[in-house]
Amino acid sequence: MTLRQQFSLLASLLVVVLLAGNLVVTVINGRDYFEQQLNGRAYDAATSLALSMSQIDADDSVQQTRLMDVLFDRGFFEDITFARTDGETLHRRAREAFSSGGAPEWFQKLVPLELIPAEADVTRGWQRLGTVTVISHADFAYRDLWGMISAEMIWFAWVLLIALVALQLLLRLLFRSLVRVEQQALAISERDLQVQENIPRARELRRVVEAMNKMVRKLQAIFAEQAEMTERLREESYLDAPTGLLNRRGFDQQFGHILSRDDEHSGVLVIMQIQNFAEFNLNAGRQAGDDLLALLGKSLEQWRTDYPHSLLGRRAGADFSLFVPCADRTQADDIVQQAFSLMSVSALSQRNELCFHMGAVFLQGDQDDPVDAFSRADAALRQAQRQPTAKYQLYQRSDSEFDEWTAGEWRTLLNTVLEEQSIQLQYLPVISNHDQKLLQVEVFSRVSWQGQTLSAARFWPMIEQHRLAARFDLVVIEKVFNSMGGLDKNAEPVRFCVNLSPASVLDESFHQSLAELLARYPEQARCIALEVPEFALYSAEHAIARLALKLQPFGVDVGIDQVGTGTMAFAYLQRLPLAYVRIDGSFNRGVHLAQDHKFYIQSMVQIAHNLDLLVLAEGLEEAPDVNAVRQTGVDGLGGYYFTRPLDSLEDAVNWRPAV
Amino acid sequence: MKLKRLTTALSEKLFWSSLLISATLVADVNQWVPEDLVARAEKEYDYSAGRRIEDWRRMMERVANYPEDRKLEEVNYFFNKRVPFYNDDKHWGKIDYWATPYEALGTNGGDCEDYVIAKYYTLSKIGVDVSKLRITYVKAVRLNQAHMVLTYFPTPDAIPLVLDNLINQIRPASKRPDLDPVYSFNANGMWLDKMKGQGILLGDPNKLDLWTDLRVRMNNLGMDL
Repeated sequence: MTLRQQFSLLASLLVVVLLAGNLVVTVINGRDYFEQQLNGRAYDAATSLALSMSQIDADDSVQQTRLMDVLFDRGFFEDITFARTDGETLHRRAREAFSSGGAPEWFQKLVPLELIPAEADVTRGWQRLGTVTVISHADFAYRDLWGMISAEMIWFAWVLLIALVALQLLLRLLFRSLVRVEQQALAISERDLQVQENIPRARELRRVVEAMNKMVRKLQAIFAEQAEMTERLREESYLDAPTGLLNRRGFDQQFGHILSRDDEHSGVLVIMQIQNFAEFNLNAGRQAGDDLLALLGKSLEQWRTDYPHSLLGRRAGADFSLFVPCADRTQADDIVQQAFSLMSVSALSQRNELCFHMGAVFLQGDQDDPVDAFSRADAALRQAQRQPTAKYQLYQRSDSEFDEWTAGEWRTLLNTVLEEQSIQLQYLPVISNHDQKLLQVEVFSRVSWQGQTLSAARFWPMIEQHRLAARFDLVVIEKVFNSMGGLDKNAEPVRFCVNLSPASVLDESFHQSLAELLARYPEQARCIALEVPEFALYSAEHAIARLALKLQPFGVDVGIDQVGTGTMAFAYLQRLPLAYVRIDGSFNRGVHLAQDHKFYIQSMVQIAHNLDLLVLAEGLEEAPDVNAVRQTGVDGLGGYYFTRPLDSLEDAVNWRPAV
Repeated sequence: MKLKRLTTALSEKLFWSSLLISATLVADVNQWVPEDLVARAEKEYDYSAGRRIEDWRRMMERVANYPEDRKLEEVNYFFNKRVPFYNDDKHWGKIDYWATPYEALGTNGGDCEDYVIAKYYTLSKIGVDVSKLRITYVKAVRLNQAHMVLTYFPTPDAIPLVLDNLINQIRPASKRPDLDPVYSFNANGMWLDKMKGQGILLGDPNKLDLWTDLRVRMNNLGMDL
């Protein structure tokens, strides 16, 4: 029972008791009054009757009985008796009570009127002739008393009604601030830290609200502190301070993960070296050198907006490395040329008298050795450096195991694929860290073309280049919905997580089309989650927030993946209505050897759990890593260690880890 | 009527048994006239007032065991002798004031009602059945004046004896041509008892009739009328 209910019950009880007590007192007083009046009237009547009868000739019995008749016929009396002194009744008039018009019988029984016979002597001179006895009629009194009580009860009912309504209104008013306090308390327990702006006037409540606000601010401060610490740790470990790009370690970690994971990759690795940077440092001063590096970092970051999936890093001194995903050698060539011309017209233009060279290698395949990749890029660089002026060189490989397509061919390919929806879905189970059960299923997509299966690594750069991301995302989501049709309805619901590209999130028309699509599949919509890579937050946080709000009514979860690869402050975790975060595979690779990776994941888990978010780890391939990640307290794990992506949705849902 | 006969029979029985154990009646004098009334009268009026109350107590004690006709004579004589006659408006400052015996003896004066009340109370206490007593409104023919006497009915239909303050002798009513009876009332009864009870409970005697008012005041003095 809520406090308000208790209050209103108590107050209602009080009103009822007061009114009922009032009613009882009225009944008793009324009864006493009527009793007194009736008895008084009987006594007066007896006295005056006896007096009149005493004045009449003793033998005129007719006259005497007529006197009694006159009184009796007035109707106020129930019984008038005249008896001689020896007790013999001479004349008597009496009648039963009226049957109708009076009070109900139960009322008469409940409230008895004690009527006393009034007696008076009838005399003849000095002698007594007899006694008249008069008893009043109770009917009139009952009728009046009943009328009085009925009126009182109606009044009672009205007062009760009005009092209860007024009470409810008053209590609602009084308890409004209490309800707000309750909501704030509930919000806090849901990890939703809100400061209440409305401070109630009542002193006790005001103090409670102030105390809660203080606590909320404290919690927010603690969260901010923790997030900041983790961010600084990451920055110090993986970022290069002068340029803001990845440092050697950060680059190698992510690049290594992309190359060595059991999944296809396709991209170009570029190494850039500024030849006379040491001289420049010496001549222009260390500060100028740092400024130059910062400028370089900035222009590279800017360039990156066209290639959001790319990795940019400074290895040491004036050595830079870039990895840009691309579909084939032709595109790789374009990219290297673009990067080269960007450098030549911005930070490294001729006026700085700096000479730089680029060496690049196109990488495509299932597994590559990062060291081998670097040595090939290095070979290309050496070749370029044979020229004294700025030059770039792409490593030439003799054999090409992949088909090469022109831009026009790519366009035809992608359009046909989207129209025919010839997209293959693959499903990777994510299992719970607590009970080894299936937690969710990640959905990947592949494209079939002329007997070949192209992985995302190969076709995705082209999708982005041709601005087909939004269309592609919609097709994938609809395909997932269609595959879910055959699922057992009674089975435990599992979320299917589909990736959204940053370009889709930024596209307003995509929001609209997505909402229409979800409206067409309301049941299936509740079983999917859409996730966006962390680096997209940098440019698209507002768009993601808007999209998440739009998705909420459909029951669609929103998550962030590749967490740890971006340079975002963790505050977004608090700002966005997220359901989970997925830590990037590069953090999980070799985590059993890297104490700081483990610490980073642990901090992430702590921060996310404070906000009631699930933390998932992806890309797990080795048993020691799985064990180490399990210890950090993440909620779910996924990767080739458990299984390769499965082609059938049913298989994924029914998949259980081998014990 | 049945009820009345029953009470009459009952009180007759009580009367005979009270004669047998007359010693107990003597002890009852304190219930008839509380002892502290003497001191109270001395304080409220004067020493002689206290003496008169004391005399009253003694008289009751003395005559309690007498035969009924002697009781009538003694009581009638006591009040006629001891209380001088005054009209109400002279004595009490208001017309028709029914004084208690305590007030009549204390102030040493009273009119016809006060004699009747004092005699009625005294007789009822020393064992005369109140159903034989009636308070009778009369007209004093020669004086052409409203008057009140106490009448005693040896049997219900007999000619009553008249206890009057105008003459000291008790005579049958037939021997009192100077008095013309108007109306007599039984000063006892269920109805009056009930009204008295309510009057005492309500504590406001002004709203009741003179007789009930008197009974309430008597009760306040510790005398149960």
